[in-house]
Amino acid sequence: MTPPLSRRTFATAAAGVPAASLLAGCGGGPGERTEHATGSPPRSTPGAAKAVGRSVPVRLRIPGIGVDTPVIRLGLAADGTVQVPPITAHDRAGWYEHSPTPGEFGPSVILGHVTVGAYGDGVFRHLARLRRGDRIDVRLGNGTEAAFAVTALRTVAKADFPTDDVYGDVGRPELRLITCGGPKSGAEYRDNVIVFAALSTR
Amino acid sequence: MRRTVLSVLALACTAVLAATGPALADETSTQAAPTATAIPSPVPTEDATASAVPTEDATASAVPAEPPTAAPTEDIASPEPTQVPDDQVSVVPSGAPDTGVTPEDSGSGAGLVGGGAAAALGLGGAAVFVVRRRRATGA
Repeated sequence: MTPPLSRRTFATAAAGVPAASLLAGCGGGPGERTEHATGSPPRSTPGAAKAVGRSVPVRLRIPGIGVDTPVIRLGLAADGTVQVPPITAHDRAGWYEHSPTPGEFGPSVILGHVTVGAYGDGVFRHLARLRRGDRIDVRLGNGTEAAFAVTALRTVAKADFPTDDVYGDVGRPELRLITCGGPKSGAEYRDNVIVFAALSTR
Repeated sequence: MRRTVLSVLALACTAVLAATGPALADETSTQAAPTATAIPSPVPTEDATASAVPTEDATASAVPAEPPTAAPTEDIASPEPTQVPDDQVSVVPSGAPDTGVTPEDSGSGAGLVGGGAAAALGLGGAAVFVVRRRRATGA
């Protein structure tokens, strides 16, 4: 009979409309992110792991020093320095949004605090304990994971921050983890601890 | 007889309902249901507009797919601390990141916590002492 059929179709249609709009709403976010996709430079290093597609990092895990943290986005501060994550309890790491995403060609930069004032230790409190070969996993917004291996660790005076080494071009997908370290001077630290890592072939 | 009259009435009623059903379906389907079979006229127009929108979306999404190579250069041009446009890091920050607020400021906070804990312990001890004295006095 037609009446029950039409009612049923109406019911399914009515139920379907909000569901479809919900899906459209969810799909909008990631779509905007992919707009910023950039073509990776043609350079490559023999033996380097293949670059991963551009996707914003959402989580960082460093099993060797017990780090498992969400990753926020960081831009530039008004004075031209890089923004740092907020000083809070359970502070998080932050990815510098003008650097490549982890796994893309180039140096992807992630920052975190060593200490957060009155709140105590920061998320990167043990960063200086990392050693060459230690594993760093970054989960990306598109669900994939990029695995890195530590290649070097440097502690440098903030006054002599190696801008070129940290932000300069490289021939493979790399990662920089930056925090503070060294002796304290007032409310700050004298040095930066910088971990250099490269995308590892699985 | 009555039964047959009643059954005829019931049949007539169902027939009327069946006849009005598609009309109802028309009304509802114009609102939401493009899959309704009875009404061809509103559905194609809706479908036409619906299909037109996605194609527009498709072109809109196709547009950003082309410029990404140009977009970073725009990013590069805007903020002050910059380098050559070809850089992998489009905007290089100046100076060193300030990724640590020393916990020295927290000294007073830690002292407060410690003092609070000591006060709580003292209160507990006093309470135990009072209770024991009461029991000892034979209350």
